Amino acid sequence: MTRTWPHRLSTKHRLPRALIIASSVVMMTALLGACSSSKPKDTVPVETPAAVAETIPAAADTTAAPAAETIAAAAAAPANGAELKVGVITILEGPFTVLGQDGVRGIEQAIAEVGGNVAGRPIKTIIESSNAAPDSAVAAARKLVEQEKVDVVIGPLSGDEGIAVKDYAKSHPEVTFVNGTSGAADTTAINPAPNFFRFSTDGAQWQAGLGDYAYATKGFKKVVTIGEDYSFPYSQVAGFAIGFCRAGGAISNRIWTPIGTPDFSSIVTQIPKDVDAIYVALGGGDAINFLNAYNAAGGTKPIIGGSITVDQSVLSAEGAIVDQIIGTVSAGPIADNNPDQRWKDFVAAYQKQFGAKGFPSPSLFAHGYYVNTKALLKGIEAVKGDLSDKEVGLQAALSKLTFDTPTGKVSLDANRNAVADIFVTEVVKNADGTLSNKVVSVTTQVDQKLGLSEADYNAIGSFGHDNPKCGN
Amino acid sequence: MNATHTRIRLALVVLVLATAALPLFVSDFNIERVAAEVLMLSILAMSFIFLTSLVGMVSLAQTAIAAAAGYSVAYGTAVRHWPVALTIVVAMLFGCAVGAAFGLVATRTSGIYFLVITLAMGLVVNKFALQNRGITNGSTGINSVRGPNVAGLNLDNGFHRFYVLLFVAIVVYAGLQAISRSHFGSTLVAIRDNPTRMRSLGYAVQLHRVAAFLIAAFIASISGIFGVWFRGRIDPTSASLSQAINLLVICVLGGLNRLEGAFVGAAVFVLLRTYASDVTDRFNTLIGLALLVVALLAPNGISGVARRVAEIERNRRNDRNSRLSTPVS
Repeated sequence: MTRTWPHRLSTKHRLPRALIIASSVVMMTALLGACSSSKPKDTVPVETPAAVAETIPAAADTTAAPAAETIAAAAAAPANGAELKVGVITILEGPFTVLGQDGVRGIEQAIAEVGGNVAGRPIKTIIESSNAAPDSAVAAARKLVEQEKVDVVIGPLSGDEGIAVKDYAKSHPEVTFVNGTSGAADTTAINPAPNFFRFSTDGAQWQAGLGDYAYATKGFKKVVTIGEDYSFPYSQVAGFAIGFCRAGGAISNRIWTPIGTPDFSSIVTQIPKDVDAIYVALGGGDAINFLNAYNAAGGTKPIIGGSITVDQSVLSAEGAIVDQIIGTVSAGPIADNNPDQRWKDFVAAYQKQFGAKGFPSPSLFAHGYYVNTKALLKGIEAVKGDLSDKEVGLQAALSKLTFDTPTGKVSLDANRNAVADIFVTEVVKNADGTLSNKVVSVTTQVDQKLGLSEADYNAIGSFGHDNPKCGN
Repeated sequence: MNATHTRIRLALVVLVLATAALPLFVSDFNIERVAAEVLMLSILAMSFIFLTSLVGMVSLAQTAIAAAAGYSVAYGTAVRHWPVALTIVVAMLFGCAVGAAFGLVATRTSGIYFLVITLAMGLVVNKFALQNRGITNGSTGINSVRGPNVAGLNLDNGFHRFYVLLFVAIVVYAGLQAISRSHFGSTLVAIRDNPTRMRSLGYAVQLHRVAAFLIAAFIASISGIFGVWFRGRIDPTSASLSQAINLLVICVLGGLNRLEGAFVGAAVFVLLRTYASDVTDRFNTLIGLALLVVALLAPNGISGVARRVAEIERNRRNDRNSRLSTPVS
């Protein structure tokens, strides 16, 4: 500790140092300038700041005309309630950033629909970013609840984050938490928190109907599964396995890979020769990397996809994998080409509100955050904006809420987990050569137990590497 | 020199008192979350700076050792429901055992090889935690770990935890200062500067290095245990590469040559990470820029700048007092 740095301050060094200081100040200003000027270009106005509070009506100029009228009306009438502080946890750093940004769009769309006011209280959102690690999501929740003193929290986005935030929610029963898109079944299935609500269904539910369709319609008898090694893919594989194995299918082995695996070539070699198809529960870059590696290795087996495997980024991919993914079946809480008028209206409103800044069609993440926000606003409406009873009234109202969403009716079970419709889709080639997901079957009102009895479902316990077993 | 030392001590006492009085001025969140995290990371950073400055070993395994101790606490508390004392003892022993095992291997190397081998060891802990779901619950981690009651102090309470952390940080700081002034400390410095000569003088160089690594592991374990109580949970990211780099950033920001740098670096880092997101959505850029500026302008970190300012001041005073002689230091 007593070691002193070798050089001393001398006149010889003064001039260059001054130069260094001056140049780095200039550099920093330039960098910061570049950052702030590039900001509006790649992000939507309302969602720009990671944690800057903004009142939503300000950004509502671009929204649909009827919404604008509501805002005008709301502005004319004096707001009779105090500001409603809504904390948002989403991922705005790292590889999931674009998904997190779309989640924020879902919230904005739900808030714009009510004109930025609920039960006479203007809505103020405070956004905190997490980075997919559960610790970061809890840190974000803590800052929102303990420092910003928000009334309610919406989020988080990723599987393990949800389990951790649910656990934190228990220490603040006076704050109501609604999920974002976090899809780990364990969040509500095991030790649920009385003040944590999930209107967006879980990752296992999202696979409802897929196992049966793969077995009966596609004729796959034996598959291998590949998923990232964390709670959301565990839920996805479990949801698929429960249906597939019940129908009579077999799973040869289950391969788990770390998130962000750059090279899947060693994993591709673990795929047995005798399987009929490969079930892939990978997301984003992992899905593309796997498909490329599999294709490069000469693999031709059909693919069955998880809910975020065959998304827009995969569908718009180019090169050899295009042929590989045509005919891929997958399942999830949304389907891009859902012919339902309610979904079409939802997509149209999304496109109108966000234009080129958003995705061509709202993602699962926009939908999940939208549905949860919508439910929350309906709950607050039901208690007339009164949260002074430690939110007991709001939580009771949410528990028995049933409402209509762009993807059908949603209600909650006893664990405050959603019961909703799930879509099985298949990748088809359109006339113009682009790929899209076509709805091939809808499973209505899927609950968390996936058709199992309460005892059977609870007997499975926490979903994991080899749980649930196939063929019991 | 003596006058300066007295002044430094006085400044330290004032700083400690000011920290203890913080709850009078800032919000609960800033005490329970921000200040407590600063202290927790400072303890970890001190173990890093101790190894770097005194022994010349840059260890990237400190966060992993802390995580190993943290996992023991989480496992003992939330999974096995062991008594508090047993949990803490097991956690400290496990942290030190991991440290000793790492130390025995890593101290055979030095310089860049040491850095790389400790990095690899840290990642071993990370992968172990990810893949042994039976013990660590994989990437979900172990949730619902509540702080225990120890001697009338409720470590689940943010305020109690803050004061306990403050006390522990002071003890660790004083302990490391004492070690650095002791004969053992001088031997470590001598080994750092010329291991061959020390070996030929008959010193057990390897043993001294392992002992130093063990001391650092002990301190890292303390920080790891508090980390679990602080977060109420643990997952493999606490032993990840990015955590190891965060610790490195803290130490470089604060200054690698002085123990005080740990506190300065941790304070700057935690404040930036907690509040930069209120100002800009490019908060990671801001932290990176801060590191860049410090590395460029103040190779001795922020604490080094303070030291230099004091040095310049002293030089000027000496200049005034006797214009005949040039000041030496």
